Amino acid sequence: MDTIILIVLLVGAIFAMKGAPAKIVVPVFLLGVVLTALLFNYHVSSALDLSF
Amino acid sequence: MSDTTTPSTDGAPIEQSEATPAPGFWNYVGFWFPHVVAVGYAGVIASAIFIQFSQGDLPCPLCTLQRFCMILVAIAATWVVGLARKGLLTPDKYARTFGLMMIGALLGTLVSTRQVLLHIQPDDPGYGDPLLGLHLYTWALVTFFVVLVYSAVMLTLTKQTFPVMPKGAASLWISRILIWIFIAIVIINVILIFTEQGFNWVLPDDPSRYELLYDLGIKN
Repeated sequence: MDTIILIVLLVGAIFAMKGAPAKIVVPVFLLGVVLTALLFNYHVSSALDLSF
Repeated sequence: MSDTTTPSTDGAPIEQSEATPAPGFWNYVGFWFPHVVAVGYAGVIASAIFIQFSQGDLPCPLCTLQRFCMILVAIAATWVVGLARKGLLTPDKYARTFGLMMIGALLGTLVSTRQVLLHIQPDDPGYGDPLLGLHLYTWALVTFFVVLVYSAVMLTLTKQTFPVMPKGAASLWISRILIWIFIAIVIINVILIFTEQGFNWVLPDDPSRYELLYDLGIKN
């Protein structure tokens, strides 16, 4: 999941650098936001497997 | 940009009251500041990567999520640059980039606050080694606050700081190099996170090794 999100962000960064129109950059950006939020939700709601 | 004039009935030009002013110092600040945001976050992530290799501190899932949020903020900054360089930037698009920047910074604030709170108890050593007295996730929280303040100030001053790229090939090349530094850091992150995660769906809660090396049988 982390790798997939980073690839989405990389694509978004390349589109942004090229000055692509809003109908491309904004959805890719928001997809990155939603995926990051979902992963955050997973990590804060799953049992931690920590070892001390 | 030059002042707009309209011919009068007798042929003499009349200055229009809403003529576009020539770009000034703050317009150039408006163009270069997004570069500072993108390269600044590239520098922060590069420092985290340096610590990852020099001290053997693998980024935990929350650290990785903070990197994502930093990249999100930097994407919005990069879009300002991309549009300004092509001459496609309009005041509404300029304002929209700050909206995106704030979304990324708010999500980053949420994630880094969560990690700060995980280690808030007295005598908790925190995750990883501190840098200048603060742990990396605390520094991340500070930078997200700075981005929120920066976005608020720039939104207030959108008219005065509307980005204009300075003329000349040097400005274009400096701009390209700075943005490519950010893109390069994102590419390096893709490789590093894939190496750490391997073919697992998510990162382990307490990562201690590069999973891909074990998945491929390079290490046992």
